[in-house]
Amino acid sequence: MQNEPSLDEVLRELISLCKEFAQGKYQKTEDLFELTKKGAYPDLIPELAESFGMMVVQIEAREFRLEQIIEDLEKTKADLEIARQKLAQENIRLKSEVQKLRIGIDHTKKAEEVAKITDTDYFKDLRKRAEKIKGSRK
Amino acid sequence: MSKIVSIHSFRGGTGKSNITANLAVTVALQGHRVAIVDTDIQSPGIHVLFGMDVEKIDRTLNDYLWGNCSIEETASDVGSSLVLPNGEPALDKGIVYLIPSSNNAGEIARILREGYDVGLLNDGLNELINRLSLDFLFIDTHPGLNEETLLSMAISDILIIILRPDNQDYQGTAVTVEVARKLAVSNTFLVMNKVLPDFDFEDVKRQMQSTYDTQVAGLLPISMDMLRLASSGIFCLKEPEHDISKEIRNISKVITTTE
Repeated sequence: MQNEPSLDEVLRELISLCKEFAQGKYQKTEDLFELTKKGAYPDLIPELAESFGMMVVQIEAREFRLEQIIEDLEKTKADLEIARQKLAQENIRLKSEVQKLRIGIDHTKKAEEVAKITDTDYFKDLRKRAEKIKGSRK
Repeated sequence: MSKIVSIHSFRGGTGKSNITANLAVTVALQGHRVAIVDTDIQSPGIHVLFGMDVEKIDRTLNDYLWGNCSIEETASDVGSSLVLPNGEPALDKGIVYLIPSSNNAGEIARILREGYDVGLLNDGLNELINRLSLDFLFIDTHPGLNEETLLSMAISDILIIILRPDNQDYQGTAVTVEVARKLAVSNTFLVMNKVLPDFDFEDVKRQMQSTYDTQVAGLLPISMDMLRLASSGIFCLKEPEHDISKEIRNISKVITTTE
């Protein structure tokens, strides 16, 4: 017991460890667990070290969980972007379809063009002959 | 009973000759006796699809129209040289004859200058049907609505009008459909060629049917595979399982089942 560190020394070590943990550095947790050994350190030190240790473990676990959640969110965001691009392309396609697919006819112009052909003598004659022509083949 | 099938389009470049050749061959594959007459005297072309060198042919439709020979003498059997992808002869019972037009500039000029007796063309077609015992006679017409085209429409049992998804074709097709109606053509069908594959085909079909009040026999998608062949053969024989070949078969069924 002659080597037992003074209360002052142990408290200083605890303070320095807490500063490290506050910065997210958990490499020295073994040093903290060392201070939890009952009988090796003065008074309530092991109990205090135990409390700090539990706090560090809990914080580490929460950080790990948050990292996973962020990773999932990033992936979802990327998937959404792909889906958004697909939708945009589909919209362009549908729009162009609607534009191209209208069969428009100018009926006045059509009637004029038809009359130009059907008013000829040739057409009138052909129309009369058409029935006979077809009939003769049978 | 034999049938005359006219393949027509209001404007050039619709793929009319290509469709005619593929339809005729597809019908012949079903065991029918078929002939194709190239009445596009001003710009003949269907012979190229059958690998035929018109320069080396003695008799063309022009010779018949000028009284130099009988119509029968102008018919060449182009079916026997057709082969399947495995190299075997394509036709078993079926036959394909081709009656080409002259490719000679002087002879084309003469037809344009002097014209010809369209009645004689009609007589010739009838003679051809009888002499060659044809089941189907396909007429590859000149685009537009000139006299010989009107005649071929008038004597047709089946008229197939080819159009592209194009505003000028829409208007011209409306005129053609109306003229055919006035000529009392009994069976008129529409075929749209070069349709973009991302169109809704069923919707296009409905629109065509309602706009023209005419039955739609088929819709052929525009295809790089077809372009790649570049008129150097009969597509349906080279790519029998292609969507275009399947649709050509559907259209051929419309032809063979129409009474």
